[in-house]
Amino acid sequence: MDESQIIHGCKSGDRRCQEALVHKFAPRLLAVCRRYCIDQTLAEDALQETFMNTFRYISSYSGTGSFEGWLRRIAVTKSLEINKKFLKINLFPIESEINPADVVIPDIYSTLGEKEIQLLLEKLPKNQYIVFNLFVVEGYSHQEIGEILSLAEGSSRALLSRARSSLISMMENQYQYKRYPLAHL
Amino acid sequence: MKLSEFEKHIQHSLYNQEASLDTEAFIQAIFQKKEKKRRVFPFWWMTTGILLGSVIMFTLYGTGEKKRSIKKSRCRKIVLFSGCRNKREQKSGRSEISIQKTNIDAEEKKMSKLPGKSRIKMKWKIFRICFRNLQRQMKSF
Repeated sequence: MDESQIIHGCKSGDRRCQEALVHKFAPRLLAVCRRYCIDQTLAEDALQETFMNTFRYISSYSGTGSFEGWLRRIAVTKSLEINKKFLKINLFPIESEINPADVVIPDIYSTLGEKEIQLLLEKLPKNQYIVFNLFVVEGYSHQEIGEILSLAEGSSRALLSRARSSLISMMENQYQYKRYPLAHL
Repeated sequence: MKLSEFEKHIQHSLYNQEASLDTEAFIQAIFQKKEKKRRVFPFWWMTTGILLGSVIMFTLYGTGEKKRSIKKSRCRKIVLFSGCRNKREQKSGRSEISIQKTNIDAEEKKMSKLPGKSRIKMKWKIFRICFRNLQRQMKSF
């Protein structure tokens, strides 16, 4: 069954198509939910809510944009909704924005795998981590992030900049520690 | 390596990331939840129904009670304190207390059967009796 058939079937409430949709997208969407939820159970709850909402509102999907993108958007919104009480966004004034094209980081980081990257990003403060993920991984604009998190566009920029600087300093520290393991003593 | 390149690397490796999931069990959970939500009478409907039902029941029962109380009130109790001059005598029980029950409905029926003049006379009679009783009670207090 291809994507258009699944969508058509889901629109008419066909259970087989709904199951096929879950089979096809659940593992990817769970990874999305996992990135925005504090633990696995909350992520699974968010995923369940995502599919429930998908089946309910699939008729409103016009078919113009990517279907996966539409699903991911629902998953992100649901995950953030579920984690709302854990997500406290603190804003501090930023001195200057970081341009990612100007900053050079050690080449060793280009070889990092999924898990290592995930671990590295999880060390960021929660609010910075969420904005960084939304901007870099999901590819949302600051305006969209502002809409999702009920923030001003400038606040989203500020958080991204903070996330970048935290990431750079973390990587520098780790790199120095790897090169000179006793330097911190 | 520049940070922008590293960010692209992050996106490339995380965007298509998949998490392991027992899909069959998950599907079952979703459809069970969906069926629960599709109950013929959802929980809040049932609650509203029960509340509405109880309100209607109590309202009906209440009106019944009211009707009965109206009937009761029409049966007047006249307490006559014969021969007592003051409250003390009443409390001590020296004086005789006679309780007279008058059924207004019955009186009205009787009155309706009487011709016009005698009906007015009867009314005056009742009024005088009531006035005398009231005077006596006032004196005794």
